[in-house]
Amino acid sequence: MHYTLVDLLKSEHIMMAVQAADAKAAIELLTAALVESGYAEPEFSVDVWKRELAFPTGLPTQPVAIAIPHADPDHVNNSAVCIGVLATPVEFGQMGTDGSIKLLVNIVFLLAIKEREKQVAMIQQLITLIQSPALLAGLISAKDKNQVLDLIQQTLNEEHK
Amino acid sequence: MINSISKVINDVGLHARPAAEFVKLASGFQASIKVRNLTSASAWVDAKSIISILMLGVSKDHEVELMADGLDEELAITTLRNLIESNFK
Repeated sequence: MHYTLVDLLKSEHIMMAVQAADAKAAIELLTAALVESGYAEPEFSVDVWKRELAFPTGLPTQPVAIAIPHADPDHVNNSAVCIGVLATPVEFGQMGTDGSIKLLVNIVFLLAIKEREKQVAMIQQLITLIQSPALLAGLISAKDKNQVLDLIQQTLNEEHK
Repeated sequence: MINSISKVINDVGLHARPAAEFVKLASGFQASIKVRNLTSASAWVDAKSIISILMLGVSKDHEVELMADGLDEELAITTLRNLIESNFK
């Protein structure tokens, strides 16, 4: 089976008004949600942070910057996308740089990918989504998780028109 | 450290199955491998990350540059270049 983004988005993996002091704390909080639901092992947090230091994942999207931290599937049990809307932005290194260029990131899309071959379609959907300024603006002002899910579903539907 | 430039000739570019195959192959090497899309003047990204590869937006006829650094760098570059230039067959 090939997954679409909606298949991998669960309400328990969406976090609103996340209070994180820095990028590492944000990654720890989001991976904790995946560990709690059994989608990842505790070591996944370390994997993601190590990878983030070597290959930063901040992206200068509009109207707010985002980050898409991820890691190898070693400590992933089930694929999932975890979304964290931050209460206050934190610095992530910009993708394609050595991390010395920093971006103040408002939304983190943490990807746990188990079977890379089956998730190409999902990742391409995500790449399309994050290029929608209307969606990102909607996410930072969303009131609750359901609104986040609705906004994503709406944006995906519009892409298919 | 070695570099190599290749032209992508398959119809879908580095998307879908070819992107996944490229990353799977790259992940098998010990060397650190980076890739950039010369045609769109992208930054260097990790060749072992499917997300990074898809973000590169490599389409048919785009030129990509590979860079590998490590013990098996030569084999890594040769293998990945062969994959790209073989139309992912």
